[in-house]
Amino acid sequence: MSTSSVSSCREGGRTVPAPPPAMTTLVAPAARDWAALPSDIVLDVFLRLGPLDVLLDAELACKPWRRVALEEPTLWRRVGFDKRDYSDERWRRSCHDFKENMWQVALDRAKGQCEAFKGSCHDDDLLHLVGRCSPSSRSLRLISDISLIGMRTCSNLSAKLVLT
Amino acid sequence: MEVDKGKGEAEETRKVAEADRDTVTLKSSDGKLFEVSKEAAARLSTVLAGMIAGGSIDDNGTDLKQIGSEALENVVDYCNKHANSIPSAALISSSISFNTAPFKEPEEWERKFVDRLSHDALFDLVEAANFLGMERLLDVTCHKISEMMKGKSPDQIREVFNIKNDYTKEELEEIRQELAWAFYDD
Repeated sequence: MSTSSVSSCREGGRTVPAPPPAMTTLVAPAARDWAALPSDIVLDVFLRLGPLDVLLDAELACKPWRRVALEEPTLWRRVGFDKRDYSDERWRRSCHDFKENMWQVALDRAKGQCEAFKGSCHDDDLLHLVGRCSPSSRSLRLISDISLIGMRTCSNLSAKLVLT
Repeated sequence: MEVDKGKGEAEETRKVAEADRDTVTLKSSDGKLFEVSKEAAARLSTVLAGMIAGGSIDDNGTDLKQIGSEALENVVDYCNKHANSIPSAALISSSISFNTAPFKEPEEWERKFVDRLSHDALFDLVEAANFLGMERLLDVTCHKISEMMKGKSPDQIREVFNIKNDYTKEELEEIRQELAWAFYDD
């Protein structure tokens, strides 16, 4: 029988109650607490991920990260929930109400600082949406067929925005 | 004393440093000393630029008590590599997604620089970059961290970053209800 250089091993039917010492060296010590990453770094990373990845995944990793997502309006300056931006399988399968809520939640969090929006939106919601965007909004890209938007809504909008 | 300029060897650099003082000496929390190009340090770190301009650089090693030797070595290595690299023309990325503001894409050598780091080393480096006000290094490290998260589920993200799940099942359910989380095939 050959003996390995690893000193600790289980033999035959012997039971070893405590984990062998070799195990502890195999598992890397959890030295760094990524949940405690400074919030400005988390924000920087989240800005690179974009709103959908943050809402669906990243902010659910731990509470300190979610706090950043909730408390940093700058994260929601650009809100785009257009399926063409995502190849995410879950996005394709998600129901309309979910998508609708996504931008509502995102705009709530933007606290009036949203500068660019892209996504689908009902006529009824359009003014509501525009009202919640920043007065300095540069881009409002809607997926809805423009002909479905009522004339009154259009005239109200035109004073404020250029639809792209 | 004759000093052979133009060679990048460590010993030579040290001699040149002593003669010309074109480097600064930084001291890590565990007392190790590192030489870094003064020009690169001032250009890449707002904090070091302020210290150099304000004359608070110690020739015997400026104390950086918040930064360990491994992270400081990476910072110094990054600064020195940066000093020798020729910046490419197109640094600003063409934003692929509507959602993300245009960021400066890392250069090839910068990608390789962070790719070789362990997760712990990356964590320490991003904190050091933050502490020293190194915008470019923050770009590179945050880009790497975002790549590590992209397309991963909360569970997978926790696994990659060794994060303990501090949510209860009820709390997660509540958050998902806020989003009216529902899929057609649920």
